[in-house]
Formats: sequence, C-alpha cells, structure tokens
Amino acid sequence: MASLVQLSAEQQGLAERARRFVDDVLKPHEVAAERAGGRLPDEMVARIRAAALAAGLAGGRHAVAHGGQDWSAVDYVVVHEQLGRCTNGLWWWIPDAYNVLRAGTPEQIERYLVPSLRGTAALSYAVTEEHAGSDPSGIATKARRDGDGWVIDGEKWFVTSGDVADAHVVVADADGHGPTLFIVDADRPGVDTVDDPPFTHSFPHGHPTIRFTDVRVGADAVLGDLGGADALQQAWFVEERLGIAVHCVGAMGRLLEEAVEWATTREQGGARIIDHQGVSFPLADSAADAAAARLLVYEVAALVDSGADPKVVHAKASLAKLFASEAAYRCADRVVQTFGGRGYVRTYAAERFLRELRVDRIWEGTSEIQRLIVARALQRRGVRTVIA
Amino acid sequence: MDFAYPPALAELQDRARGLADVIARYEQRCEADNGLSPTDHAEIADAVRAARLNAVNMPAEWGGQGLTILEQVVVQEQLGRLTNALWDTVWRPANALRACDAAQREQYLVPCIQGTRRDCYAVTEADAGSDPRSIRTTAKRNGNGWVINGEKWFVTVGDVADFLVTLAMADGEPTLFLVDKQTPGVRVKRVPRYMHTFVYEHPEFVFDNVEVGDAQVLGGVGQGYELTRDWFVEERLMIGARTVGAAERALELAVEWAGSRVQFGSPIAGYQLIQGMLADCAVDIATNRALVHQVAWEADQGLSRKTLHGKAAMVKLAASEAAGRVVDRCVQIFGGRGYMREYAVERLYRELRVDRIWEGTSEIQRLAIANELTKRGPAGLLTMHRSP
Repeated sequence: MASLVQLSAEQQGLAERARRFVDDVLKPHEVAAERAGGRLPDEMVARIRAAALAAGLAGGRHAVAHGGQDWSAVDYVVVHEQLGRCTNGLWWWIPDAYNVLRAGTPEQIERYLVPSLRGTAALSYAVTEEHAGSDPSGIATKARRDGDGWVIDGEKWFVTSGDVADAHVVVADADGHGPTLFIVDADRPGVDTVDDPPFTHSFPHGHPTIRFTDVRVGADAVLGDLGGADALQQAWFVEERLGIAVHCVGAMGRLLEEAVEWATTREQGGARIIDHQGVSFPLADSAADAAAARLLVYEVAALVDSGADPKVVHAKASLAKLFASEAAYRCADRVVQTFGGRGYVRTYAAERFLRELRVDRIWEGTSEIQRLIVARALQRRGVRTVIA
Repeated sequence: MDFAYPPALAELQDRARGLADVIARYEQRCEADNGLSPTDHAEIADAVRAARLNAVNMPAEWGGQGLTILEQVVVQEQLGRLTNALWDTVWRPANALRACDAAQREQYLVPCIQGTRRDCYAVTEADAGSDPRSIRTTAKRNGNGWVINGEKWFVTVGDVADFLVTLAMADGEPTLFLVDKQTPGVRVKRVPRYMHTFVYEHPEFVFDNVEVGDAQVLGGVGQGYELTRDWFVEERLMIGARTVGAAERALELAVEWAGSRVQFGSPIAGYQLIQGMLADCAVDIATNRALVHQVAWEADQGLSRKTLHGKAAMVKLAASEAAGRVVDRCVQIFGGRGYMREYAVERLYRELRVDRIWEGTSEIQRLAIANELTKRGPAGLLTMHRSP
C-alpha cells in the first residue's frame, strides 16, 4: 500500500537536498553554536547563508521573482521536517522572511523582502507586550497620526532577532483603524533595546525587549491595510504553527535515531540498555507519537494547498502544533532519560533539544491557546471537520 | 499519632529558611556569571556557620550538627528552594567519611565539617553509570601502597574540592580511596557544560599512575560498594526533600503570577486550564512532602537496611518526578517569561531535570523498588510503622 503522504519525485528531491544541507552544512556547527550561546561568528554565518542560497533553500514560500522558491505548503513542510533535525535553531540562518511581507508595496518588497531573502538584511516581528501575550488584543502600543505619517509609542517583548534586525515589523493600534502593521527601521530615533535577556535555549538571535518612544515614520511604513494586522497575522500564525509542528516532527526523528543508536551500543548490567523494557518502551511510545504527528502535519499542509476554508485550516494548524510540540517534548524528555547523565550535557543533542523544544509549547500560542482554538472549532465547525 | 512540628523542629525550619533567603540573593549573579566569586563564597560560608547549618549530617562530637535524618530533611527542604544548586554551598560531607580512622578524621573529615576543606565523590565512569559494578578504575598493590589508574565522570564539586573520595577496584575489590587533588597524576580532563547553571562544576578526572599509601584507604579494602550504598540512601532522601522545596517555591511563584496576570480581561488564575495545573501541583507537593517526612522519620527509628533502601528509592522517584511535573506546569503558566533565565521558575526547570537522573535514574529507582517488592513482598515498603 502506498503511503498516505504522497510526495512527488520533485518533492523527494527537495527533501534529500534539505537533508544533505542539514547534515553537511548545519549539523557540524551545533556544538560551536551551543558553546557560543547560540551566536556564530559572522564569517561562519556568511558561509551558511551562501550555501543555503546555492542549495536553493532560501526564501521558501516567497515568490521566485522576490528571491524565494515559490514552495507550496507541502514543499515547505518537506524542507522544514529536515531543518527540524538540527539543534540550536541553525535553520534560522537560512535567508527567509515572514509571510506578512508579501502584503508589502513594490517599494517595501524591494527594500525589505528582497534583501532578506538574499541574506543581506533581517527583519524582526514585534507583537507581544508586557501585558499582551496570549491575548494580543490587549496591546498598548499606539500609532497616532502626525501629518502624513505616524508616531509610534510602546514597548515590545520577545522580539526575536530584534538584536540584529534592520527593521521591525511592529503591531500598533493605529488611531481610528485598530491594529496595524508598521515597518520601522531599527536606526530610527526613539528605537531602543531595553533588555536582551538570556533564555533557556541557545538560539542564533536574541529575543530582546524593544522600546519605541515617539518614533516618527512615514505613511509608507504601513504594511498592508490600515487596521489589517489581525487578518495578516492569522495567515502568519498558520504558517508559523505548521513550521513549528514540522520542526517538532523532524526533531523526533533525530532524537529517536540518536536514542536507538545509543541504547543499542551502551551496555549496563551485562546487556544493551535497549534490551531493558524500561528503556525501550518509552522509545516505542515516542515512535508512535512521531508517526502520528508526521501524518497530521502533512495533512494540514495538503489542506492549505487545496485552498480549504482558512478557518478550518487555522483550527487544524492549532491541532498539529499542539500535538507535535507536546509529543516532541515528551520524546526529548524520554531520550534525555535514555542518555542518563550524558543527556544533561550540552554537547549531546538530546540535552539541547530538551531545552529548545520547551519553547515550542509556548511561542506562537501556548498549548493552552491551541486548546482554546481547537475547542472553539469543535463547536463552530463540528467534530468531523476538525478530526477528519 | 502526631504530625505537628515540635518547637525545636519549627525553629530549625525557620533557621534553614532564613539561611535560604540570605543565599537566594546570590542566585542572579550565579546564573549570569556561571558561578560565584571567592568573596561571595566566603560570605555564604559565614552565613552557614552563623546559622549552625554546616555538616548537618555529621556527629556533634566531630563538630557537625548531628541532626537526625528527619531534621536533615527539614533543612534540605528549605535549601531546595534555592536555584543554581546553591543548596550545595551549605556543605554536607559525604557520609562515607564517617568511616575515616582517627588520623584520616583529623586530616579530612574535621576540616570538611568546619568548611576549610571540601570533599567530592568520584564513582561514575564513561561505561559505568547505572551499573557501578562495571567500573574500570583500578588500584594495584605497590609495596605499602596503591597505584590508581582510571577516569571518573560527573565529579560534582570537583572544581573546588581538595580531595576525591574515589571508587576503584583494588586488586579486584571495590574500595574507596582518599585522593588529594594535588597528588601527581591527578588531572582534570574536561569541564563539560550542563543544562543547569550549577554553582560548582562536574569535571571529568583522569588518574594516571596515581600513587597513594595504605593510609588513604577509606573504611577498608573491599568496602567501596557498601559505603557508597549508604551514601545513596542518604542522598536519595535529601533529593526527595530538596525537590519538594523547589516545587513549592515554583508553585508559590506561579500562584502569585496567575493571580496578577490579566489576559482576556481577567486574571489567568480564573481559567480552568490554569486552575487544573495549580491544583495538580499542590497535590504533587503535599503528597511527596508527607512521604519524605514519613520515610525520614522511619529511618531514624531504625528500619532494616534493605527496606530503607527500597523506601529511599520510592521517595527519590516520587518526589523528583513530581517536582519535574510541577515545574513544567509552572513554566507553562509563566508563558514566555517561563523561558527567561532571570525568572526562578526557568532556572528551577533546568535544575530539577537532573534529579530524575543522578544518584540513580528514575528507571534504576523503579528496579530497586520492584526488586524489594518481589523479594520481600509489599508489606515492608507500604505498611505504616507501629509503635511498640
């Protein structure tokens, strides 16, 4: 019987290309990245970026005309399943950009999107605030009219890549229009980094707190429609959640490979540790988790490509993100246990994955928020729609 | 039957809490700098002496506090509140050192009790973790002394210790040796980085033709496993106590946060998902606190060694797994903040993970418990003690 996940020859080639890229280009930097707190030296980053461009992995779902690959959602998960196999978020170095940039004007695309996909610029996304996390409707950042332009005032938390970004995509409540996206150049007067705190993982970039104090921007800083932030972000969340879910699938594959290799070679008490049921059964449970999560993620990606109702896609992406991130964390926890003391040492992938996968249950909507979305969909779209 | 703390025990608890509160001031610095300065250590040592909590596990006649196991549990529970393993700055010499002869006592144990010297315990090896019987470190007879060769892993406090209590096969017999760190042939091979930011290191040591005299044998040739087993029993109970204390602090912080954090118009403590997590945490902590106290008290009444071994395994398994669940929920309640190292829940999360691994993994505790159940039946582990 053929697999439910039917990949074309082209997609299989893409998966193979991504796998080689991870194994040959990214994985060798994992331990160095960990030792350096996530950050790699500029020359190493330049080499990774050049290799990603040469491998045709930059720009993912963006248009070819802008420097992207024009991938379908399934293409995207095919590649990102492989990228999820490396630790330290090393895939983050592959030039790409948030999908909201597609809503840009030709000038914005030329100025921000194209260089991002070439790897010569970086953008951050500034949504969360001190008092607006799970509930983004509580944002306090304001944009008030100032002649033709706007004056932005507020503070954003957890601004991933905010430490290196050339510009920030900022969600602000625009006078009379509601939540709106603005592209704010990082060198504008009034843009300050308040704090760059350390986190559990060792990631390529920081997640600083950035303060926007009466920052003046022109009318051309508005991204998409005035008051259009929620609609744009809805599509962004679907892609991000799918991306997280498929990274988790890739991570489970790598974790299980490492665990099985270790458990079949490590001997204690006169036998290979995999011959002890206390070791092998948790791995069996995670294999079931990984196989189920993989099917779910590919199904959601195929739904996206089929042009299904965005509301159904939104609920399904939540389902995938919830299940895959919780499953991957269980898997990492079990594999750390398989490795014993070594599982607590940072030079082992299991240790790094445990720390890194923890945030996948938090960012882009905590597991609790995903449950709310799924529970609402059960009522509004019906059980069959959600699970079938 | 009386579950109340008598006044002396309550005073001890307050004193330990007072010391923990003093030491807690060093947490952020320890996290930021991966350790503390000699001045910080000296200040803490003074506070430990002032609180009369040095060497709580050693007899008063040698300068220790001579506390019962139950009293030690009360102290360790309070110290377990500290992050960055700062509880380990409140020195407690390895109990194997009770086996010192008179000369060794003056040279090693008494200074360790006073806090002028520090011991560390070197058992684990690359190929001997859960199965300590497969150690390869050897001590060969050489005239009136021994020549030690081998390699030890995960030697906690090895960076600041003055000597290593080292397990080696002495002409085939498991034996502990007191090896001064300055002895020629002793060197640090690596200082790995771990998931937690521990106030001390866990280096790997190499013993390369290290010559020691007969006077360095601790407790007699062939006594290595016996003495180590006693250490495990004591340490497993203390891990139980510390993880209860750690979990309680995490829950206190989570309750405070959930009560003040407003999302969607009300404190998140009002949402059932959060309430469920908080309630499960309280149950995990209360049940394990009772169990740790019960078994510690029973140990003081003089349980059979084998039953105590099984009971200590139950305590360590139950309390460390429960604390792992508690802190995982508390991280989740804190959301993105739970992933930031400046928050105590984040640090406790990374630190508590190793309590399910060291001093016998959870899997090894299960084996010990099942072994006791099948050999001597459930009554010994489960029946409440009866007064005569």
